Amino acid sequence: MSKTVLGRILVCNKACRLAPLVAVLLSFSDLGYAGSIDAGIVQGDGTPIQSAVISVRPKGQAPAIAAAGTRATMTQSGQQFRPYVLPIQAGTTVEFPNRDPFRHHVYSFSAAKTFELKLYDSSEAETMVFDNEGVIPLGCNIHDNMLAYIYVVGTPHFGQTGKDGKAAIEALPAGDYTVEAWHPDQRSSPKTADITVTAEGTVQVDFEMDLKRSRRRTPGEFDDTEY
Amino acid sequence: MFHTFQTRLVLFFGLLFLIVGLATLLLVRNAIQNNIFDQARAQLVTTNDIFNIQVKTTAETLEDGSAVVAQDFGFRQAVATDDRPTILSALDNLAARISADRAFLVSLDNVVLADTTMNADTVSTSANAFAFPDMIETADIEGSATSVAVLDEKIYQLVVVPVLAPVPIAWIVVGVEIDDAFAMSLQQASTVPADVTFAYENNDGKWLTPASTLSPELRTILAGALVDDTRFMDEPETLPMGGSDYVTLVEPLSQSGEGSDVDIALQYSLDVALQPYQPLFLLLLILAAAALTLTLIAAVAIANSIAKPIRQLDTAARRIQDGHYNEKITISQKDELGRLSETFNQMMDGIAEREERIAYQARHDSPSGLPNRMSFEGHVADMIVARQEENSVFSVLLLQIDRFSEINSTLGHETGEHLVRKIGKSLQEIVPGSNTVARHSNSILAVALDELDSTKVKATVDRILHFFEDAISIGGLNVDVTITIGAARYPEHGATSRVLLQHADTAIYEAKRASTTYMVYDPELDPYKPERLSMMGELRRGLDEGQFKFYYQPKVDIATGTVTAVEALIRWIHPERGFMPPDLFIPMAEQTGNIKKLTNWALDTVVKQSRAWSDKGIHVKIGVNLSAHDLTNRHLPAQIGKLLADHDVRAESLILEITESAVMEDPTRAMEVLKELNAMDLTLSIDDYGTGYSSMAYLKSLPVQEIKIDKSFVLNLAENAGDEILVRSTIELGHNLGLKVTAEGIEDQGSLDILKRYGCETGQGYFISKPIPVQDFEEFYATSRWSPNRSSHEPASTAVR
Repeated sequence: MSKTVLGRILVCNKACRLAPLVAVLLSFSDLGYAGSIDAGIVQGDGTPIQSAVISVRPKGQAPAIAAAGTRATMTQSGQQFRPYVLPIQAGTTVEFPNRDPFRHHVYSFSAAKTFELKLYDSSEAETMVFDNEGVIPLGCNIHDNMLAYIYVVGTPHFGQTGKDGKAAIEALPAGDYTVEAWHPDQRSSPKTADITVTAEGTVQVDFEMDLKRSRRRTPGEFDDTEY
Repeated sequence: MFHTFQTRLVLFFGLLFLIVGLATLLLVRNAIQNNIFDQARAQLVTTNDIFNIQVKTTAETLEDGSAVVAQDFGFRQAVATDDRPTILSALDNLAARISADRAFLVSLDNVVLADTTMNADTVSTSANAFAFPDMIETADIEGSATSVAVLDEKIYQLVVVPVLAPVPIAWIVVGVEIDDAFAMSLQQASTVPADVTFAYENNDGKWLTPASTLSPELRTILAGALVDDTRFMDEPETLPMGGSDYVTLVEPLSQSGEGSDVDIALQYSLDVALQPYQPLFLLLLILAAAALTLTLIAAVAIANSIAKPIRQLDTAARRIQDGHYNEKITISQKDELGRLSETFNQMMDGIAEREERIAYQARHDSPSGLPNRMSFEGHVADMIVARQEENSVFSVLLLQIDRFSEINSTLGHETGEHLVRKIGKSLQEIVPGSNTVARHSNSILAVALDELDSTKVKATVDRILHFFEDAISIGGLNVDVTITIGAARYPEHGATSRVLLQHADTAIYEAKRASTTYMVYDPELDPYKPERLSMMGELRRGLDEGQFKFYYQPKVDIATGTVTAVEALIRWIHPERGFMPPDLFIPMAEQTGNIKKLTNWALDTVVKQSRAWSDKGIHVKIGVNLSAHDLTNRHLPAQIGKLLADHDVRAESLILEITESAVMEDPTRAMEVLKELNAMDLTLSIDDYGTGYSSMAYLKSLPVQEIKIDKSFVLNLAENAGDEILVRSTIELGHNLGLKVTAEGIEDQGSLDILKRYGCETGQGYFISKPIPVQDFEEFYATSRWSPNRSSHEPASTAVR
């Protein structure tokens, strides 16, 4: 069954005072010249989509590499990767600390980054720098159920939706942007929307997305019969 | 051939049984076939289930095997790095390990990266699209996919599993070829030996059968039948293949890719299915044949038990028709037919008895028990045949019992018959031999005398006559019986029994005329002689041609001397022979039956004459003579009545003159006729009185008004004193009986005077007038001395005085 993906882009000017939430958000902004984006993402039936990555990239610019020393963490704990989706800016160093009392063999055959972190334990925290944009599915050669994604974007402006399916990207200089929404279980390629951000303005961007069943399993849930 | 009851019955029962038998067989066969059909369907469904289970099991096996490879890190690494030769070798290894016939690796964008049909060189450039992308789509959602599909004109069961790292990075497709061996294994797994065929429709719309348990020929037939898409689906149908009917069920297996629909056709040969029932059918057939035979035998037996007696009865009925009653029907059956045949036998007895009685009666006179005339004629005929050969002679005697009717009327018929019996018995004693004595007619007995010698015949006749000399005693009564015998001899008096008897009868007649008791036939006296017969022909012609005339002789009232009546006397003037005397032709006419015609003419003429005279003022009664034959004619009174009425003539104008002997021929009958005539007011007169038997008692009983004294007594009355006494006493007798008296034959005045003196009423004779024609009489009536016109001034009586 094919689901239509509806992209709805709402552009609000300064004059347009929207929800009180937006006002609250604005009040917290310490950059007076900066605008922001409120992104919302739901499934066709209106269910909010959690863990989706919203990245905002100035139009026409090359990927921006993160400043050296930018770090992120992908923990293995309880025979599972945490978080499920880890958005990072290209050039970020990701630590893979092992909190489990047993070993993991983390690998990825992704085009963006193919690697293998063999059999380490909690004593050592392996790190890995991800330079290329793209999706990097993470697996563990020992535990088939373990799955996580590192999503590498070429922009510092990104965020992740919470349980309410919303994410706010703030401190955006005024200008033209491309907003992209990505989720590992999405059926089609990432949703994008071109918007213009003005100073002190909040742009509301709504996405609708169709998800496949998640491949992520809880430990022990992995069952051959499922396949 | 259907015309006998037996055949029809046998045919009916045979056909009935055949119909019932065939219907039963058909029903049984139908029921069994239906049963088998249902069974076959169930079996086919089961086989299909087995196949589905097998497919699933195979899929699981393949999936398990493939999953192991898909999760192998090295393999994943090879896939991730697109190391085609390694991938291919791993696929080969996989196929070998899980006994798959083919294995592929398909990229996420549906390109075949490796195929076990490739080699290390070709694999690196492989870029074909995978034929069943929807399988991959299914596997992406479901985690795996399995399908039956056609690849390179082979049918495979394909299983798709993902290569997870840990998300899908490629798809492993493994296939097990469904071939003849596979079909065979499926057949062996099913509970019945169902034939299994996997077939698909290629792009040209042609059905191919790469896997089957069928022979190549049968595959072709099946493939041809599969062209019809809807056939055999859902509901099994029979398909004739190679001389046997196959219950066929088709199930679609998949619609995967390129429109190559793969079907599984499951077939069950009815011949095979019916195999266990063959002994049953054979048994049924044997039973049916045995029952049919028994039925036919029974039908023949039953038909026989009915038809045979019926045939016997039929034959018996024909025998009866032909007059054979002695052969009895022997049917021992105790049923209706047995009873019928018994009744039939009784009927035959009855018929035989009755026929015998009838035959006896036909040949015998029942009152006397003597053979009758017919029987006697037969006997005489037999004698004629016998004597003809011997060239010898014999005689036939007829014995007439004189006045037999008088005996009957006075003593009673019973006595009469008793008399005949007694006479018959006596004759039988005189002339022994069977059938020699018979009753010829009421009063005549016949005797066949087988005597050559005429003197011996005479001797026998004398013995017979001698027997009658004494009175015959009957029931205490002594009866005097006289007989008259007539005899005829073979061959001189006749060549046939009938002629002989007739001539003997004539001899009786002649004997009576001659007042004798025995006479042998004399052809000269025979009124039936040819010349006499020719005269009878002339008589008839003469009547028609007016040769007959009446002459009228006047009768006068003696007291007044005037004519009061006439006697009509017949005259035949033959054109050639001249005057014919009535004494000649009247007896002959009486004997030959022509008298009737003559009487008709006479009565007609006198009645007309009476009318004519009455019209002219001539008032005379006309007397006319009646013969003995006329007196036996019951129609005579009516005939006369009609004549009188037709011509308006009063009955008193006619006087009917009869002779005593005429009355005596058949007194009973004559008496009836006379009484009737008398009742009509006709005057009856006894003619020729004094010449016959003249029984006083008899005369008294006769209903007559007048007697005519015979002329023999009157002719010489004046001269003969004896005659005078006779005439006188007769007149007195007549008057005493209340009768008028007429005297005829008056020849002179003296006789007339005497008659007048004795009171005789009427006179007739030559002295008065001879018989004269009509005209002469009219003149006589008008002018003679006897004319009533003259009697007033010149009475006739003057002559008397």
